[in-house]
Amino acid sequence: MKKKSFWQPKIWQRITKKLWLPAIVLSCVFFLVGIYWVFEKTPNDYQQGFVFKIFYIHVPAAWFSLGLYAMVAGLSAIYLIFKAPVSFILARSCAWTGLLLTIICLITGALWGKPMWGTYWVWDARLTSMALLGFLYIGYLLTGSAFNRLEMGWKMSSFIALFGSINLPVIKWSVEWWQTLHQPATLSKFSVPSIHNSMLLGLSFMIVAFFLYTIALISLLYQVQRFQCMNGMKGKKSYGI
Amino acid sequence: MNIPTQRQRYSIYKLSLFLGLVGTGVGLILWSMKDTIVFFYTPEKLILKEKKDLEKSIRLGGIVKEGTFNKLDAQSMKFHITDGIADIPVTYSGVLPALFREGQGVVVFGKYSINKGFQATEVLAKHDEKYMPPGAIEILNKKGCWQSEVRIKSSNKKRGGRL
Repeated sequence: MKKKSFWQPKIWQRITKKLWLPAIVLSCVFFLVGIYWVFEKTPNDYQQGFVFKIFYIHVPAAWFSLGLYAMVAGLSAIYLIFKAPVSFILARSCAWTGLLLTIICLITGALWGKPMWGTYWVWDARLTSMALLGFLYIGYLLTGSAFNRLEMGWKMSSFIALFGSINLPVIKWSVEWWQTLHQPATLSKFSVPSIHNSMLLGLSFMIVAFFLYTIALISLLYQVQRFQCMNGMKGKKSYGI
Repeated sequence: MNIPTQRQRYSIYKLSLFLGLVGTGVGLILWSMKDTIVFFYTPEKLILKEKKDLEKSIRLGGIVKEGTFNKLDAQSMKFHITDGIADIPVTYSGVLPALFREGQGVVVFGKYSINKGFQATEVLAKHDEKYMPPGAIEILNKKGCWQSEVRIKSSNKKRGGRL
């Protein structure tokens, strides 16, 4: 039975309740140090100057919005296979967080695009697929609560999440497959980063800050989502919620 | 995790089939649309286009060729866009983005005809994925950090082909 305990939402309630406060405090610390480092210790870019510093918000937000969608899709698959409500509640918490990060990514991208490219928005493959990611998050979240029979909504939205995961490789490689206005990736796993070393430390601070912020937000959202699902399930079959 | 039951195993197969089929479908759609998904055409692709395809406004992208930028009057200007294979003359009147200069990647929107060249109504600047402090290239070259130098050179080559 010990192994089984992670399927119980109560366990996650206990974990998230302990997790959110330290995560958000640490996130703030890293964010402040990161912002200080980015604005005081990081040189401007040789051609973009000061505007380049939007990079430090834009890139972590983009990464985690993609990563969280992968989490949502994975958890949805687990939900569809094992019918464990806990994975649905976790997926929904991830989806809210991911939607927020997608919006941050799109807004900072627009603010970066106007001074550098000369436009807030174009319909190139990268920007369009990223907007689609936002709509997938919205669609997932809406379907999840659109049905009278709760399990029906959970099932449908999990299918949508799985279906949308096809968009992830499209976003990742859109800049390689098609001609886009957006530049290719600066940091990729298999090559030396195309960013000067003096600009990397600020990025790592910001990535840690975003990671901790994500953890904190998921933890808080988990408690809200669990409460909602618990209320919805009142008087019905016990799901161990 | 427990060993999946018969029903769970069955749903794993179902979901993988679902994802595989839908993924293949989307892949095929994207593949068949690969010419329309591109945000801009390179000069090489543009000169190969037939006349009837050139009636609509399109986007052309490439590098502003060194030494070709000319101001015609206060507003209008002329320059060549190249991808290292073909050159296309562009005329434009309006405001240029801050990053615009010779040797920079740009994407222009407008109409192309063989006689008049490309008449742009919008110019967008493209920038690459490399970020460094001002003067970093010179310092790196002086120090003999060949790695970075090679990276810049090879990316320029790549640029000629791809941008």
